[in-house]
Amino acid sequence: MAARKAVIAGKGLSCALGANAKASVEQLLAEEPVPASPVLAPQRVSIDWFPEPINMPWYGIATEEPRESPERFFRIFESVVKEAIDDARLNEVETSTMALFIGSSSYDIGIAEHLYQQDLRGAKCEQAFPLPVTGFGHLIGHLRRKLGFRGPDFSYSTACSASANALLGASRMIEAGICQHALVIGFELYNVTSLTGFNGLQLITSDRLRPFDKDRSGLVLGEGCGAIVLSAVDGNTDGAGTGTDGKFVIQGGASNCDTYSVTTANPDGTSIAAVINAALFDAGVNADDITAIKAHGTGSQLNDQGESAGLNRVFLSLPPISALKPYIGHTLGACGINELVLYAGALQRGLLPKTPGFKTVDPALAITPLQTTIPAPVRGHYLFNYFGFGGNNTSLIVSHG
Amino acid sequence: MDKPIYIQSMGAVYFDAVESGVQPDLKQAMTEVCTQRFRRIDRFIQLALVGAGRCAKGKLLDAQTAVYLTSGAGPTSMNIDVQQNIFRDHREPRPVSFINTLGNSAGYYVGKDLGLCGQNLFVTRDVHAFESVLEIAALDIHAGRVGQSLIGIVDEISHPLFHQCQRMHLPADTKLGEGSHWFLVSGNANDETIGVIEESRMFDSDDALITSLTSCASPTGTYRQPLLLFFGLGCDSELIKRCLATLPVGTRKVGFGQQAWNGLNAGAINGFLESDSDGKLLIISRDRESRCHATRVSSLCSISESGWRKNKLLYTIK
Repeated sequence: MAARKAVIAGKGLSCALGANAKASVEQLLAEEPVPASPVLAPQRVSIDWFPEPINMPWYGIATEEPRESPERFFRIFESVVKEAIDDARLNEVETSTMALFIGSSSYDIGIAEHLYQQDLRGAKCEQAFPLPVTGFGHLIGHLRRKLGFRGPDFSYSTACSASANALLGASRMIEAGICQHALVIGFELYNVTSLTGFNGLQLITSDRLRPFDKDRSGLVLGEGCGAIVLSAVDGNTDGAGTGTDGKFVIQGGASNCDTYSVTTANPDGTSIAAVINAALFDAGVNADDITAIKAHGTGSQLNDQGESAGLNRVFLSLPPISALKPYIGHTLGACGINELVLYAGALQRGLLPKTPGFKTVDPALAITPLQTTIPAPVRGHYLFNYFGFGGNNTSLIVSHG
Repeated sequence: MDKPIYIQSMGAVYFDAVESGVQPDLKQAMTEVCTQRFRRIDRFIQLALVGAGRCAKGKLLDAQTAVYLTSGAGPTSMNIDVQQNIFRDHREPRPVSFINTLGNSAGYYVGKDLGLCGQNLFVTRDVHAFESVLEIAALDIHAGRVGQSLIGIVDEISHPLFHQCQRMHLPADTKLGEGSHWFLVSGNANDETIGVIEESRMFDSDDALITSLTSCASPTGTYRQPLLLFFGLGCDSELIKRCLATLPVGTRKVGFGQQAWNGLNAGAINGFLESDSDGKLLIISRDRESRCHATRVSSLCSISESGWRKNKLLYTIK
């Protein structure tokens, strides 16, 4: 095991639960959610210009600006990054030389949509052309210019596992001694392409997300931006965080490609079991060392089938399982960071979060996620699962204590 | 990336932009190299399959071979199509079109065609897309997590060309190209090695690059012998002049016949190793934020009983 590891030094988040990480975690763990809380019911979003208008549940970030405005994109992006950097308490030099990693499935496609729509509606609509901005570097480029970053940058696009893979890449770069600090961002904000794409795939439920429930009927999309600052820590970290002062240590992880289908992992769980086992091996821990699991848990028929089959292949006895998408929706490429920030926030408060919306056990899955929030042990190893289109499966092992 | 990675084979497909708006068909090329027939795939995926298939050369690769795909702009044509459907024609995108807009779908099909189930990533960085994925791949190879990897860059032309130039922040009359360049690499040399990517480094300014080149060109530095110099996207005449003035006498600028596209630097590696040139190639490019990248490639790469030698290349670009 590498002596040098990456630990979480700072966190930032903006999602349906709140405008920052602290507010979001408080809502995650609130015994009585506020009346407008998405935990009670998601909002709805409409796209009304199709012959058959779309109206679907959706977890949006509450803001005053129109959700499609580029200013909103950049404001949320910058505020989350600043929150993570402030939380990490890095100095100016450490901040400016950090390596930057970002994972997203849509990047700034929402801005391209906005500009194209604006041109189509304008006086020179005949000159409007689709995708007026393209590429993956605009978000990072904006950060570099605005906040003065000078370190190398890497943009990951592996669908719903993108920011989890970015985190894995960043932690490996720190372990190798290439950088001392890295900023890892998950970014997924409002865009019509994702909403209509998932609607066309008939993966969206009409009411709410119920991961692993017998009556699950699909997922609900959400928007969110999360950021984590990783810093290097030297020394023995294999005793569930020995010497890391209660921090979260990225112990290891793995990623693989399941070519069963471009939209779903093999429902027999073989490829998911393989990636979990590879992650455990990389982290140097055994399945029975895992304290609890943050499941991918989309609430779609096939994802939950494949994930439960995979987990049951690896674990003789399943540790407590939480699925966080019923709180913030499926934030696609950003869910790797967003859900890690939420789960780590719960652990810092000594709790394992429940999975709202779950009612009926599906005997075919043999998985019952936590239905009440329970105390977390002081130390532990945690498994985080993320699966994406394109056959991309990623598992992370994070230790706390 | 400061430790070498060794190229075992390479494969590519490349086309100049066709003014008429119809790029050459890839179906025949796919039939020749793909192990399976794929339906409902777009040109971006076709380009990836042909390049990767030519790189694999019909060999059965280890199933854990990792795939590292990159691109400057990803599946542009499919994203254009989907945006037109949604906003101009007021139609929902077809599910398959939506899936094909994702950057990593092409990597999935490469994995499926070649029977690969290991790590399969899409990583990019503006103009230096190829260099970014090279760095991530080298990190995994040198950490021993990955035995061998397929590294590829794919970018496609979308018409009309002046819109494509606008998207790439290039002058409207820039001659464009599209292509797919792939390299099968590992952390060690063997009898099949055809080249070495010795080093790839980023510099945050022209001055930082020139300082490094000056140091390398000193009597004790890495570049004591003349080099071949390839200048990729973003290099202006001033930077070219400064680089040439810094490096040893006899260093000369070379080109490999490709037009402007994000895979130019990978194309230069292909072209250099295919050309049977001796010595080292230094590839320099610069992004919109004036960050420079320098990648050094050597064709003297394989160890035999008589020492270093150059392996025979069995490769054609088209």
